[in-house]
Amino acid sequence: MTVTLQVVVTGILLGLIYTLIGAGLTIVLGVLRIVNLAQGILVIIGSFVAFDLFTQWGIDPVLAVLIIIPVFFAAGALAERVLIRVPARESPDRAMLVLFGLLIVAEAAATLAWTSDSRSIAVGYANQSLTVGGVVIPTDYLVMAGVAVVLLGLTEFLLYRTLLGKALRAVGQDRQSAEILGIDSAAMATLVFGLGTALAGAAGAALGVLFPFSTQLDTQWLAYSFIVVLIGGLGGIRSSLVGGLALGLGQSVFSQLLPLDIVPVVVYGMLAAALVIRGGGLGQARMRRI
Amino acid sequence: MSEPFAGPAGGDAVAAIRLDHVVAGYYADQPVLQDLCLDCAPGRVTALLGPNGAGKSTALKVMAGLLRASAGRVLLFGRDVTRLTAHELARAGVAFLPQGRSLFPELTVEDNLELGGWVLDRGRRRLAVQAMYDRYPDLRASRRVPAGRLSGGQQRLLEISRALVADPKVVVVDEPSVGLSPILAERSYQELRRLKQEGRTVVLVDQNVRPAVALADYICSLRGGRVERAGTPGELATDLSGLVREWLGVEQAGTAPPGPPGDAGPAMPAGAPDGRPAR
Amino acid sequence: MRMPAPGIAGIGRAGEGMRLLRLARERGARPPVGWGAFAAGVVALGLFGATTTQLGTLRIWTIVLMYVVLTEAWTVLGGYGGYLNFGMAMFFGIGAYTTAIVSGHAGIPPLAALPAAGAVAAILGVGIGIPSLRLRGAYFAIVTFVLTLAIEQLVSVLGVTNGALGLYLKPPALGLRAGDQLFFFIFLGGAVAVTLGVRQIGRSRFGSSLVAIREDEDAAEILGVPTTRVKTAAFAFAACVAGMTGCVYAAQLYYIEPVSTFDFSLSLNVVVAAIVGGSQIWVGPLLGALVTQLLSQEFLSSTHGVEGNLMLGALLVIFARFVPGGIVGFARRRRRTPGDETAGTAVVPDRVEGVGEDAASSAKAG
Repeated sequence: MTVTLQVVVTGILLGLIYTLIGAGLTIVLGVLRIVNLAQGILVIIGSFVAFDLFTQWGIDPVLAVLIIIPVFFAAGALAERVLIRVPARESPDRAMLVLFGLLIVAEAAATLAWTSDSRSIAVGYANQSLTVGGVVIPTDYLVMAGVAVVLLGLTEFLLYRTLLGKALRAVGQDRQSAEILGIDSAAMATLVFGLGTALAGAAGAALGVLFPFSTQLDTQWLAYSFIVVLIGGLGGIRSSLVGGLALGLGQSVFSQLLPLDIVPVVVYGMLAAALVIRGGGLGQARMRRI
Repeated sequence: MSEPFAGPAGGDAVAAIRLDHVVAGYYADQPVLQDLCLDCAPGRVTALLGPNGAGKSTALKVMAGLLRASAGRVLLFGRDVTRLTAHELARAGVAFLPQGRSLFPELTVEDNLELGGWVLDRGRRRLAVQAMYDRYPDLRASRRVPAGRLSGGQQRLLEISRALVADPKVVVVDEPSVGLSPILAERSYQELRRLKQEGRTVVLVDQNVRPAVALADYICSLRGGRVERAGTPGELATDLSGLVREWLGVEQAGTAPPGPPGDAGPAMPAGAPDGRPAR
Repeated sequence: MRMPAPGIAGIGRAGEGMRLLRLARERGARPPVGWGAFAAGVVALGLFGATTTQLGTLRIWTIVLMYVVLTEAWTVLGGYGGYLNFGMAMFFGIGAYTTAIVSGHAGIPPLAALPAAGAVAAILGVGIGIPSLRLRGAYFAIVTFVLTLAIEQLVSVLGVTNGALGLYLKPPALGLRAGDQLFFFIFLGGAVAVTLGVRQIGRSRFGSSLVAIREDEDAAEILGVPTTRVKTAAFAFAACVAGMTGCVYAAQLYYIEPVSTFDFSLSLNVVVAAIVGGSQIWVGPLLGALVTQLLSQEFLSSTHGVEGNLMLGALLVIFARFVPGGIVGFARRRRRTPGDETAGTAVVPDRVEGVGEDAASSAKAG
C-alpha cells in the first residue's frame, strides 16, 4: 500500500513539474494558434542557464528562476516581434517553419556552447528526503514542485483575474473582435510568446535539478509538453494540470514496469497515436479556448 | 470616376467618415472597391446597399480599419486615418459590429463588457459597464455567464452593449439583421434607432433593404466597388424597387470578385423583390 | 470529425487557386530557369561525370543530385499541397533497410532491390499517410517528425535489422571510380526523371487538386476533390522516391545502421532546400537543393552535423521569414508587372485581421 502511495505522490510531484513544461506551449497554442516547436530546446537552455548560474555563481535554481523569467521573456518577445509576427499573419505554417528553424539554430548553438554532454544541477538538497507517513518524498522534487505551483498559480491569476489576461484570452478566442475593441492584438501576441518562453525557461531550471539534461534531449521535452497539451486539451492552466498529472502519474507507474530503453519508443508512439486520435479536433473550431 | 457625395448635412460640414477615392481588396491584384467616394454625415444613419460583391462589407471593413486601402484616403471627422489599424481606430471612437458572432465565448458577460471598455481608464470603465447594466438590465442578471451560453438575442444585446461601453462617436454595423428571427431583427433595429437618437453616426449594410431604408437618413447604392446612386430615401423612393430587382438579378458566376473571408454569401432581402413588406 | 463549413469565400479561394494554376499553364508562365539552362546543365553534368577524375567533386555532386531527387519528390505534397512533411528520413531509412534485408536474403545485388525498396516505402507511406494526413499544418509536421524518431528507435532494438549494429550489403563489384560514376549517373538520371515528373504533375489535374487543397482544403472537398486520396498519393510518392533513394544510398555505402540512416538531418535538408528554392513550382526544389548543398559543401564539411544544422536552421529562418516563395518567389517579384495574374500566388494584404478559425490563409509556407 505504501508503495502505491509512494508511486502516486511521486507521480503528482512530477506531474506538477510537467504541467509547468506544458503550460508555455498551451498558452501560446491557445492564444496564438501556433505550436511553439522551440519549446523543448527552450527548456533545455533554461536548464543550462540555471546550471551555469549554479556552478559559476552558486545561485540556487529557485533563485535562478527569478533571473531566467525576465531574460527569457525578453528573448521570446523579441523573437516574436522580429521573426514570427510577419509570417504568422500570412499563415501559421510559415510561422511554424520559422520556429522550426529557430529550434534547429538554438539546438546547434547550444551544442556548440555547452557540448552535447549530459549535465545535472547538483543542489545540496538533491539527495535528501522527507518521510511522511511512510512515504519518502525527495526534497528536490518537493521544492521544484513548489516552484511549479507558484509559477502556475501566478499565470492562472494573470490570465483569469486581470483585465490584461482576459484581453490575452480574448485575442485567442476571436482576434478580430479583440482588435475592434481597441486591443492591440499584435502586441498581445508578443506578450504571450514572451510569457510562454519564460515559463519554458523556468521549467528547465526546475527540471535540471531532477533529471540529467543534454542538448539532445530537447525532442523529449517537446514531446512531453505536447503530450500534456494533448491529454489536457486547451483549457488553460487547469487542463494543463490534468495533462501534466496524467503524464506524471503515468510515468511513475510505467517506470516501475518497463525496461528503460523501450520507454522512448513508447512515448513517441503514444504521442503519435494521441495526435492522430485527437486528430482533426486540434486547431479546429471545436477546441476549447483558454 | 465618381464625385464625393455630400450627405444631408451639406457639402461644407465635415463628414464623420469620408472615403475618398478608395481602392481596396483582399487579393493584391483584385480590388473590390474601385475608386469609392462617399460621405457619412455626423449624427446621421447612412446605409450602403447593393448587390452582392458590390463591396458593401468591404467598405465597412475599411472604415473599421480591418482592411487597408491600397489607394485613396479615409477621413474621420476630417482626420486622415487611412493608415490606422483597427485597434487604433477603436481608440479614435469608431465601433464596429461585424456580421455574425463577435463575442468571446469563453469569457463571461461581465468580462466581455469590461473588454469593451479596454480603451478607457479603470474608473471610467467601471462606470461605463454599470451604465450598460442600467441600460440593459437583462445583462446584469447573467453577468457571470460565459457569453457562449447566452441565447441568440442576449448575445446580440451583449455585442451591441459591449460596443457602446467606450461611448463611440461612430458605429459601423455589418448586417444587423441577417441570421436573426424577425423579432430579434426588429430589436436590433430598435437599438440602432436609439443610437441615432443619441447623436451617434451610424453606417450600416444590410441585405434586408426595407428596414435599412426605413432607418436611413441617406442611402448609397454600390455596384462594382463604386457608388452608383445616392440620396435620401425620399429621393430614391421611386427607383428603389427597380434597383432591388436589379440587385437580385445581378448575381452571375464570374462577375463578382472573390468575396472576403467569412462572407455570408448571396442572401435574399427580407421583403419581396419589389420592396413590399414580408408576409 | 466534420470541419466547420467554409464560406463561399473559401470555395472561391480554392477555385481561384485552380484557376490561377490553369492560367499559368495556358499562358506558359516562365520559371526563372528556362529549358535551355536545364538541358545545358544536365549535359554539362553528364560530361563531367563521364570524364572527371576528381572523385571528391564527383561524390559531392552525387549528394547534390540526391537532394534534388528528394526535394522534388517532397514538393508534390509539401509545396503544391502545403503539407509540410518532415518524414523523408523515415522512408529513406525504410528503403535502405528493405534493400539490405531483401538483397541479403534473396542473394541479389542491392540495386536490384530498388523496386522492392520503393514498393515497401510506398505501401508504408500509404499506411502511415492515411491516419497522419487527417492532421494539418504543424500537427502533421510533428507527427512525421515523431514517427521518424520512433521508427529509428524501433529499428535500433529489432532483431531482423540487427539492432544498433547495423547491416552489411554486398559492395558493388566495380572499381572505385567506376563505382562512384555509377551512382553519380543513377542520381543524375533520377534527378532528371523526378524533376520532369514533378513538373508534369504540376500541370495535371492531380496538381490542381493539390493546390486547391493548399488554398482551402474544406472548400476543395466541397468542390469534389478526393482530398484523402490525393494527399495520400502525394505522400506515398514522396515515400516511394525516398525509399528508392535509400536503396541507392545503401548500395553505395554497403553498411547501414539506425542512427545515420534515419538521421533527421536528411528531412531537414530536404525541407530547407524546398523553402530556400521555393516549393510551389518544379524549379524551386531544384534550385534550392543546388544552393543549400553546394553552400554547405563550400563552407562546411557536410550538412549533417552541428555546424550543418546551424546553417540549415539559419537559412530556414531567413527564408521563411524574409523571402516568401524562396528564390523562385523572389525572382518572380522582381519580374512582376502590375496586373500580371500568373505571377505567384495570391497574397492577403497585411491588414486583414480576420484570423478567426474561419479565415483560411493564402500564400502558405514556401
